[in-house]
Amino acid sequence: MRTEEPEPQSKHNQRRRLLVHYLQLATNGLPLLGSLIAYGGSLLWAYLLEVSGENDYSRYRARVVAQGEPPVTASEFYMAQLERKYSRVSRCC
Amino acid sequence: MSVARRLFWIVVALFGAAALGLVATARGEHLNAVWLVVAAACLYALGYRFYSRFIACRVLELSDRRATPAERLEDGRDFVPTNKWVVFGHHFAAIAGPGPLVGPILAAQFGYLPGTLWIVVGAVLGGCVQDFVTLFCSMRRDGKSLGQMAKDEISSLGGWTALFGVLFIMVILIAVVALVVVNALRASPWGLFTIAVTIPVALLLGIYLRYLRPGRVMEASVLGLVLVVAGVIGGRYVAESPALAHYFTYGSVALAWMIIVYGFAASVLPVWLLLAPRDYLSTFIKLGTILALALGILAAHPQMLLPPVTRFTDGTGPIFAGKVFPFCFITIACGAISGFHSLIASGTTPKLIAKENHARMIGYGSMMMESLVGVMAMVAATVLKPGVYFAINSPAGIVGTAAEKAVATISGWGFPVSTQDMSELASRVGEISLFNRTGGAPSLAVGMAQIFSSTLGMRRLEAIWYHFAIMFEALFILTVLDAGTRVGRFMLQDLLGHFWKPLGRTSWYPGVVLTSAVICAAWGYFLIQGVVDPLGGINSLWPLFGISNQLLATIALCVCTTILIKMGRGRYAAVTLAPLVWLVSITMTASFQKVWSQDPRIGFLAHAQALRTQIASGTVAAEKLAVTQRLIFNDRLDAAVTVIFAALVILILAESGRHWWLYLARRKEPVLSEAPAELSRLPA
Repeated sequence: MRTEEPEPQSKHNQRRRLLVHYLQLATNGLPLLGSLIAYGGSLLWAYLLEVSGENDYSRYRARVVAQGEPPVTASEFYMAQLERKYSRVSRCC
Repeated sequence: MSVARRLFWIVVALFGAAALGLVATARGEHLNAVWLVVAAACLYALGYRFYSRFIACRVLELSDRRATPAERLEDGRDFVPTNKWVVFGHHFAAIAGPGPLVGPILAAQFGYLPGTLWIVVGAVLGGCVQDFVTLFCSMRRDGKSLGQMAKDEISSLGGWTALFGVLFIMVILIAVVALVVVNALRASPWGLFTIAVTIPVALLLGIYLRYLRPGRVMEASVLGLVLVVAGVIGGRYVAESPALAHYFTYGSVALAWMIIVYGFAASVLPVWLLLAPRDYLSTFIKLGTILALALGILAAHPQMLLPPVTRFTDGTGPIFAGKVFPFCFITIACGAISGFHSLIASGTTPKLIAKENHARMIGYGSMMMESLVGVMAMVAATVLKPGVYFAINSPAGIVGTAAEKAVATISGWGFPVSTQDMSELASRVGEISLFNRTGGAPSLAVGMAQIFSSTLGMRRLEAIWYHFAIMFEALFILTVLDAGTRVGRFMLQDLLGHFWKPLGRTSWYPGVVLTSAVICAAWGYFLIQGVVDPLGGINSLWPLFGISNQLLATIALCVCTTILIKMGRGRYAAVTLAPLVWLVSITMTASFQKVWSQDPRIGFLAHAQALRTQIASGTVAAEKLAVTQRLIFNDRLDAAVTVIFAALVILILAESGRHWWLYLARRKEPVLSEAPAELSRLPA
C-alpha cells in the first residue's frame, strides 16, 4: 500500500514542533537540575556541619536538658572539646 | 552472591588485571595516568569487597548485636554513637597527612611502578588491615590507646616500648615534615608570605570561634578560606615588589629557626588561639584540594612522562641512596602502611562507632582512600619531565649548585633537561629557581599546578596554582607540627610527672614551657641537622622517619596478632602476621644498611668515617672544620637512633613471640581485657 509523502511544509512544522518540545524539556529540566544541585549542596553542607562538629553542642544540650541537668555554655563546651581533642594524637603524618 | 554480581566482580577483576598489566609492561611509550588510577581503583574495590569482608566476618566476627562503647558509655561528649559516614570523614581527615603526598614523590626516583605497586598492594594487604584490626581491638576495649593495649595484652614491657616508640616517631616526624616546608619556602617570598598570612588568619578565627560565634566551625572555615586564598593571590605582588620581597626572602637556616620558634609558640599558647583554628582551616583545604586533584587527574588524563622503572633501583639514586628493596618500602610509609594510623584508630574514632560492622568501612575504607591519595601524588610526579623532576629534587651535594653543572649531570643520567627548561618553569610558577628543592613539596606543587592549569584551561594561572599547592602542603604540615609538639609535650609531662609531680601537671605553666622547649629542641636539632646536610637532609632523615613509622606499625601488628591468638583465632593470625613479617624484614634490612653499609651515601658510620678521613688528609678547609665535625657527630647520632629503633622492634617482637608461644602451647591461659558484651539496642 502506498503511503502519502508528508507535505514539505508539514515536515518543517514537525521539526519545529520537535525542537520546541525539546527546548521545553530542557527549560523544564533546568529547575529540576537546579533543585538537584541545591539538594546535593544542602546534603554536603549538612555533612560538613556534622564532620566539623558544629552540631555537637546542640546534641549535647538536648541530651543534658532531657536528663534534667544544667548544660554548660556553648563556649565552655567548645573549649572542653578542644582540650580533649588536642591532648592526644589527633593528626597523622 | 547472584550471577549478575559475580559477573560484575569478574569484570572488575579482569579490567583491573588488564590495567595493571598495561601499567607494568609499558616500555618506551607514554601511558595515560588514568590507567594507573583505574588499576588501583579495581584492586581497592576487590580488596574491600572480598578481603575486608573476610576479615570482618571470619576473622573478627563483627556483630551488630553487640553494643559498641559509643552506645554503652554514651555521654554526649567522648562517647557518641555517630553516623558511619560522619565517622568516616572524621577518621579520614585525621589520618590523611603530608606523608602519602611526599613519600610517593620521593620514591618516584625508582620510576612509578615500584612505588605504585607498594602503595596499592601494601595498603590492601597491610595498611588497611592494620587500621581495621587496631580499630576493632580498641573498640572492643572502650577506646583504649595502642600503648595501653600493648601493656594489657602483651606486657608492661610492650607498653613501655610503645610509649618510647611514639615519642621517638613524634620527634623524627616533626623534624622531617618541617624540613619539607623549609625546602619549599627557601628563597620564595611568595610562598613565605602566603604561609605567614595563615598565622594572623588562624588567630582571627580563633578569636571568632572563642568569643564571637563559639563552635561555628564552618562559618569560620569559609571566612578563613577566603582570606587564605586572598593571601595566595596577594603573594604575587609581594614577590614582585623588591622592597616587600626582601622581608619574605630567607635561607634554609633562618627558616628552620622561624619554624622552631613558631612550634614552641603554638605549643605554649592556648589551644583555641592558634592550633585549633589552623587545624580546621587546613582540614577543609586539604580535603577540598585532594578532591580537586582527583577530579583534575580524571579530567586532564595526563600522560606519564616518567618511566615505569629507572636506573636508580640499583641504589645510586640522587634523592636518597639505597636500592629499591628496602628503601622504596621505607620511603613510602603513609599511603601503604603507616604505624601512626594505629594511634588514630585507637583514639577518638572507636568511641564514635555506632555499630561494630561500621568499623570495616571506617578502618579499612579510610586507609584505602589515603592510599588513593598516594597514587594521585605519584601521578603528579609522573606528569613532570623526568629531567625536571630530578632537577627539582636532587640536592646540591649531588648535582652541584650551578645550574649548568646540574643539568649536565642530570642529562648524563639519561634524563635530558636544559637550563632554559628550568628557568621557564620557574618563571611560569613565580619562583626564582627550582633547582635543589629536595623534599618533594615543590615537585608535587609543580605537578599539581600543571594538572589544574591544563584542566581548567588557565595556563596563565599556573603560578597561582603552584603557590596554592605549596600553601596547602605547608598549611597542614604546620598543623601536624603544632599538634605533634603539643602531644609530645603531654607525653613528656606524663613521663616526667613520675619523677616530679608538678612537671606532670598540664596546668602548671613553668612545666608547660620547659617540656615544650625540650620537645622543640629535640625535633629542632634534627631539623637543623637536615638543613645543613650537604646531601639535602632528606637522604638521612626520611629513612629514619620511615623506619620509626614502620616500628610503630610493628608494635600495632604485634598487639593485633596477640589479640587474635588470645581470642582463639590463631588460625587467622596470618592476616596480621604476614604484613608484620614483611615490615620487620624491610625495617631491619633498612636499619642495618643505614648503620653498617660501606657506601657513605647510605651508611651513617661509613659517611662519618669518610669525613674523618677527609679531615685527617687535610682536604677540609680550616673554616669548614667545625661544620665537618658537627656532620660526623650527626652521623653517629643518626646511627644511634636507628639502632634504638631496631632494638625496639626486636624487643616488641621477642616479647610478643614469647607470649604467642605460651598461648599456642597452652602453657599460659589467655586473658583478654575486652569490655563486657552487651546486647545493642540501637536500630541497625
